[in-house]
Amino acid sequence: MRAESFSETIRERLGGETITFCYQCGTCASSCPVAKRTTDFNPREIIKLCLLDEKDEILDGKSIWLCCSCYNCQERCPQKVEIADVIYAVRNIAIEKGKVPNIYFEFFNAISNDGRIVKVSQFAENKRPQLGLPPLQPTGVDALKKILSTTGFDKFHLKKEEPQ
Amino acid sequence: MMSYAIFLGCTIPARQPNYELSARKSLSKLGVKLVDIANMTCCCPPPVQSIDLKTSLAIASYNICLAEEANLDLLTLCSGCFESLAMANNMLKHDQKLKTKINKILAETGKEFHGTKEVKHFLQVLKDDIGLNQLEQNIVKPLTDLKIAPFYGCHALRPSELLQLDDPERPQILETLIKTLGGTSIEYQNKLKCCGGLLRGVSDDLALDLARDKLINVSNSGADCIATLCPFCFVALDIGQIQIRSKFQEIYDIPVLHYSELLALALGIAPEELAPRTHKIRIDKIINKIL
Amino acid sequence: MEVPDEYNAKLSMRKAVYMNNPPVHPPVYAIDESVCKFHDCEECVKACPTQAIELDQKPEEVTINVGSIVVATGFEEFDSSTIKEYHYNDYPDVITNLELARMVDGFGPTGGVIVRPSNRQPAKKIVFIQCVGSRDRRWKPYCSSICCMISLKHATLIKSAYPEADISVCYIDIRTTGREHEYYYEQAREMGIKFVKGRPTEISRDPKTGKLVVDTEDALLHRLLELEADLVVLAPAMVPSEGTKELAEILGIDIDQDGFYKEYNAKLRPTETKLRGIYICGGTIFPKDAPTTSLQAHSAAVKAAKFLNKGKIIKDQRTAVINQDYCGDCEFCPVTCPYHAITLEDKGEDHFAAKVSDLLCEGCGVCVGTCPQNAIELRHSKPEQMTAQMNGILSLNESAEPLILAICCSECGHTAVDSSGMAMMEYPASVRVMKVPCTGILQIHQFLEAFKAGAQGVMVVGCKSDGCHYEVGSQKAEKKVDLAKTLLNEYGIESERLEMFQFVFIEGDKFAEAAQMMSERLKKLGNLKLMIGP
Repeated sequence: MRAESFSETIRERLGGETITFCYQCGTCASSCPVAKRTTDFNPREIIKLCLLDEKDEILDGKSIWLCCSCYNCQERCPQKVEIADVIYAVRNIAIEKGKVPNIYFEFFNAISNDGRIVKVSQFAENKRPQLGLPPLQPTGVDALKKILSTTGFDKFHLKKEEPQ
Repeated sequence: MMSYAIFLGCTIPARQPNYELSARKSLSKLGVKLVDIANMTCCCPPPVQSIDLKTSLAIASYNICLAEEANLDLLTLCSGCFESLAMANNMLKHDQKLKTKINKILAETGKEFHGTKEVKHFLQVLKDDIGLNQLEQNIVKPLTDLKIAPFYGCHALRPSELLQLDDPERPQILETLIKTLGGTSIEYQNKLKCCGGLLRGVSDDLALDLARDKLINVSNSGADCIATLCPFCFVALDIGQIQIRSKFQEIYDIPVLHYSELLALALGIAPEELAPRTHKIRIDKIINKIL
Repeated sequence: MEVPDEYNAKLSMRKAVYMNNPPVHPPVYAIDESVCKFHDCEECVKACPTQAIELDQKPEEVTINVGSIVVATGFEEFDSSTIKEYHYNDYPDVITNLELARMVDGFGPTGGVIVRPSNRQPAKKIVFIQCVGSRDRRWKPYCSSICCMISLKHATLIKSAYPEADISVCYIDIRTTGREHEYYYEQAREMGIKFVKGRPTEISRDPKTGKLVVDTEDALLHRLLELEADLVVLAPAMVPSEGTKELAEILGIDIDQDGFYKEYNAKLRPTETKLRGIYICGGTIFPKDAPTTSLQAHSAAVKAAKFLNKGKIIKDQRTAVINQDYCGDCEFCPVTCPYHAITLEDKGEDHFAAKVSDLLCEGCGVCVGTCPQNAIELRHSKPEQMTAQMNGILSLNESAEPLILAICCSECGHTAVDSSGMAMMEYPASVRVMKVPCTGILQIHQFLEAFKAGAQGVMVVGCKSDGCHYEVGSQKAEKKVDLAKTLLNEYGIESERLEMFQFVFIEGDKFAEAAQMMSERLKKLGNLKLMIGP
């Protein structure tokens, strides 16, 4: 069987389905507030590199992590490429390969321990009645852990050990 | 009595009691009951979607299931929560295959997504469910002479196909709600552009650049304050101003208030009940103008 | 009374009584009833030397009997204000190519000077934006095909009159496919017109200077650009003119996925419609340039003349006949007929009966296959004729292979069989080909009859479902085969013995392959055991 190309891998993934619609008009690039600020990030180039199967350049580089998730590009894309979602799909692949920026470990730890990506401190929780706020309800960490183990997401922390 | 399950998310209980207090008190004054449901989790916004989209969708759907079980629509304050939950809700409602896939994961938790409830943004509840008339009738301290720069941020509006809050190019809901409070909604350059909030921690320099652009445009417009919807925008623009002061030696001194705070003040709720010290840029001059 | 003249992009005024532009024949004046003060004014009535103006004229409906119709209703510009980020209705200095055309005209409202509509000052920096609404899945997914050339024409005309003008064209792809078109592009580059490969995300306006800024990327430079402009010219998509859909419904002709009229056959009958006597041409079929429009106009005119000159219509006798004794009260056939050839006749006391127009009927038999009462027959393809034919060709099998009946439509199905023969392809000799007008004529019981007559398997061979010569026949057959398979299972007959195939007429190889496959399949299944029959 023919090996699946990088662009096909992306297209098969949740979020990556629309990548082949792209005809490189550049509307995304000029819509992008980050691309305006730095040449390190250009959504059109990311999509082009993916379509040309330049897997290593994409996964080893830092550009895919610079998307600020504003969805401006996706909103204006004339070919309805779901650009932000495509970038998430590529990030998902990078993470599976162990190429993870450090902040995502923080997100992961917070989610799996507390059920939230930002921890609510004991101080903040204690202060609630004083402020006139009802007590915080417990988070559904147990259910969340079940979901994480079903999807294999809980193996995420193992990625850190892999050589980059 | 109108009832909603409230979805607090993480940043609001962790850092922004001003948002939660003002929203809870305003809604209670407007005759809305908020139900705090146990066992909610993270909504799984873009940073988590970046780790794994499928898991994120499953977790978001799990939270919607809890609202379905309580037979209540879900009300979100944070735009990030709104985006993640409304997207999941609408994607699953319209994609049978995806729904089956996600339900398979949810089965492990004993839940099943049915698609019977709505995820509503705080603004939608105010405008569509409570209604502008009802709102207007309850205003005791109209925001007369207050020039407010509305800031939607990104995730209340986009991707519009799935969120359906308002026209992504010409939104009006926030402007309308500001006018209903008696305030003046001010136009400014690049109103709909991102504040860089989600880049904080990934690239702080970039994040600050984007926040600074926003502050420059607002300050050129002569607005008295910025009205935000999202705790991340709030942090980017409020704490952002302190950081910009030390990095660029620039002082903007533009108070940043959540729309809910403006609403609470207009409804006559005492400022000291609203945790005003949460703001790094002091809001005294705004309060004084209203009172 | 004076109002802004729409024809001149509102750059000049016209009176409430005015001559249409471009000139109509005969050249007569018209009164704009939305602004005319009628009897409160009457100045025109007094002024007309020949007393030609009657202010009390009312619109009237006129019926004209004709023998043929040529539809040439053309196309129009997509409403650019739909793309909100371009602010077409908000900023007066954002205009469309059609509006620019009036300024380029030496006899136009500005005498050929290119101005900013906001202040009537000459525009020195001009930016063109291509594909406004075209090639856009959100609005018009197709390429409007002529806008690149329109912009190139305007840009070169302006640049030759005003060499100091700074002109940029923002494009996704420049398409110059016609004769000599590429030379325009060459000339434009030689003249110093700038080309920026990028579709701008938005146009903004400096509130103080009123200058426009076009926000785009140049993908070749890998650089984001903010192009300043006095005037931005949009190249909007070309869309079917208003009322196209309604007229198509009135005439009973088809429109395509993009809303343009659909020709009978794009290659061989490009100006004909599925209805005899109705022809289409020009931009009403798809946006096109003047030479191609003219060519199609000639074609449609000749077709219409030929149709009229004959003085008669020659028709195949193969048309549908209704048996009035069986027909009753349902509305299946008039709805199903792709040619609107069947109407319902009032028989009184709430009874209706179908009636076929021999003139409109194309003889596909889709109505036959649809009628729940078996009340319709097709001349020369009556059920008993089909049964007899079936029994005849299935009566003898001298080969060792299982006997297969291939029911082929007269269009792609049968031609595909021919193609396989002409290419000397082999398929089992036990495959018996039976030709029907269209697979849409088939009824479920006929499949059972085939098995009864000795077939081990049945192939139904029709056109591709989106390429059926009778529009819906192949789709209907597909559904019927699906249904029949369920029934066969009920009767204890393996449903794999029946299969629908859809080919293009040249796919002889696919037919041969399919026949071979069916034969192998039936060999594996073994002999058919029928519970019914003698």
